[in-house]
Amino acid sequence: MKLDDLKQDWKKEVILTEPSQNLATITYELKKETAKLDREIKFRDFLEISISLLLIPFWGYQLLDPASSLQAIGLWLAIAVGIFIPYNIIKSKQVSASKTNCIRSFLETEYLKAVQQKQLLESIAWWYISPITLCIVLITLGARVDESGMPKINNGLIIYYGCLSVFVFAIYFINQRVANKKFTPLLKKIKQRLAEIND
Amino acid sequence: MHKEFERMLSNNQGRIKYIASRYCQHDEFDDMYQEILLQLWRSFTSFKGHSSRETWLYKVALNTACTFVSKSIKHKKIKEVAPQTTNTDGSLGQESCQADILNNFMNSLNDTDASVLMMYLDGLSSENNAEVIGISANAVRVRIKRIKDAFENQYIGVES
Repeated sequence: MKLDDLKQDWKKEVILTEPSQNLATITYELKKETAKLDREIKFRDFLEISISLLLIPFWGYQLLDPASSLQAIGLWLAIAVGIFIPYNIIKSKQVSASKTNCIRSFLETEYLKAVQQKQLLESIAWWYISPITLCIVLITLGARVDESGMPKINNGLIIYYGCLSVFVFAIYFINQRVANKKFTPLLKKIKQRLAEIND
Repeated sequence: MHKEFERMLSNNQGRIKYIASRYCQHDEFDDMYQEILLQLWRSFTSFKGHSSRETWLYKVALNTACTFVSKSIKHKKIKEVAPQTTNTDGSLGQESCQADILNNFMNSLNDTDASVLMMYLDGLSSENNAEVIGISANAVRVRIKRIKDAFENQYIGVES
């Protein structure tokens, strides 16, 4: 048997496979699902960006009458963070790969995209968690300063910071887990395919 | 456009199913198949006919299969109406045996060689094959020669 003999089997097994009878239903569901996915993506993008941006007027309003200079610093920082976070998210999404490209160039672009997104999740501590936490700490501490300009820390504030720390660590570890679970196998798979193509 | 897509699906269902089954575990077949259909539907409107329909289909399907990450996709509604895995007519005998040879040999190849072989068996020229993979037509010919040799070594031994 030669390899070319398999062409007949390929025809029998693959090309002449009976189509299912519900093609119209499949197409209808595909259309519906595509529209749903597009809506979900738009909503997710809107949510990621708008949460930060919509808070800027609020911080700006607070800045008109800050309780202390410590709080004013926190509010200015919050405005800067509100601009920087959406910028960073948009920047990381700029690489886009078309599925109609050849496999090699699709995989190369997809690799870059996955690396960028993995880095974004791995570095979430410095571009998302730390600045937001610092803003919250400065704003809340700044609201509790006495006449001497020193913040007064009470038990309520300590409990609040304790909860905040737990929350912040949870966000950090969830993102690290997603980065490893989602992107590590994907990157490995793409790298392996690219190596095979270049072989 | 719906009718055109349905016609394309009808003519290529076997190919799509074969690609889906080749590039994933058995329990991931439905998700992979649905993801390929979804990507074909998404890019169907942008298909401008610069290449043949088969070349376009292979590009989209193989690119989707290459970057498929299981459990990330849950398209339940399509799952309900999408057909299950390939040939379930239970036909046995020599045909089935030859089909097993085809499947076994395909599974022994790496993903890229399997893609090249699929397109070769499907009658795509080396140039079209090269366009899908992103390598030169010569490199495709070398690969096909290597695959042929491997097949002959595996199934009929080295001829003297």
